[in-house]
Amino acid sequence: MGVVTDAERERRMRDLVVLVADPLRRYLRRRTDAATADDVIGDTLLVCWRRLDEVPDDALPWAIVVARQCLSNAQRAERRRTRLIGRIIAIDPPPAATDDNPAASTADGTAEATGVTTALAALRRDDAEILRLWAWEELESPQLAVVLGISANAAAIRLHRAKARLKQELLKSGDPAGHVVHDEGSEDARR
Amino acid sequence: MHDDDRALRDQLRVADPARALPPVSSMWLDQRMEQIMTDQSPTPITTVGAEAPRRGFHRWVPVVGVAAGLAVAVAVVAPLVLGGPEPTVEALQPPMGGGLASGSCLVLEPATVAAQEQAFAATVLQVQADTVLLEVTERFVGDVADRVEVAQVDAVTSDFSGVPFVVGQSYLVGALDGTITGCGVTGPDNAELRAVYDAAFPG
Repeated sequence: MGVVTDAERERRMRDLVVLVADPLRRYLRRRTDAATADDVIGDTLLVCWRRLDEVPDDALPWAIVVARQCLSNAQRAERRRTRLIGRIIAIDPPPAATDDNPAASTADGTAEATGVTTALAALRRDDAEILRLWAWEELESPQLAVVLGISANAAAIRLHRAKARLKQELLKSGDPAGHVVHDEGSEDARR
Repeated sequence: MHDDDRALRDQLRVADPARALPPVSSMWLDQRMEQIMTDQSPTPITTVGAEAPRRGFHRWVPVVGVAAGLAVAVAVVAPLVLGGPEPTVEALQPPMGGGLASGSCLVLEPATVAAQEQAFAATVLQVQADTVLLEVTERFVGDVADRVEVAQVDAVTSDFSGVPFVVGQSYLVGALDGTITGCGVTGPDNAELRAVYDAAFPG
């Protein structure tokens, strides 16, 4: 009986991994370097395995929350290591390394990508993050609500405002693509 | 979805750093599954070691053993089952005299709070000896662990701008470079300080 249960759990886990591994890997690569992303996805899947019985039907937003927490832990540990190294070698902070954080760089070198990245960087962090989750992770309001820990209604409002603010930023920077129309949502932009 | 939204989404996707990332291979999935299945068991088995030679057998030993086993199992499994991953704990340094030789502080401005690397609301869970354990309830800026550990403010040697933490009370906390900021930035979560934090972190 126990063997059957284990096999069943393993099958469910494999189904879950097939479903979420790729989106999670992309989520992490958008927010950290490749090596950290690789470590963190291992941690994330392990937590999913341990908490398999809690995974909801719509598993991806739940798994993204787990990944975000694991990434946060990894980044905190990295900062502690950096601080410790800084104290040990007792010199000025090392010169800025090449930016290995893809979230801060563009997918390619096109002017359009650069313009969008610059506009995103000019937004408040919460606004930029909800836009990334919407556009890159392709989440809609109910899923955004799960990831952000807010109501679906609040997620929809926050997303609407973030879009308006992004449009404002793109217009300000003379969006080279120029295919975003300024709409009624801009009234509450950059409150 | 409106055409306008679709256009915006497409535009954002151009800047997606993972756009060119190839999908995971079946080999990658197999390796991950193997790691998961071999590294961790969903039902961890905890055995109490019995390396020391027995000097006698008491009837209460099995009872204590079972109780200890249950306690360990609850300690290990409960956080996973009930509260998700075990809460992360981050240590912060207590305020360092406010940075003012005079011991006085400037009027607190939202800009001062907005300049904090970490800002959060937290409730004091416990104060043991000189160590305070705070449960983070709200994050305004920066990555903050689930719980924060900090040495209790020393009312004798501090600049008096720091407020000693009291169990059960809620606080608004700002920190720079791993050190809690005094001079009014960190204090009890009251309407006045909350207004400054709200102004510092609108939305």
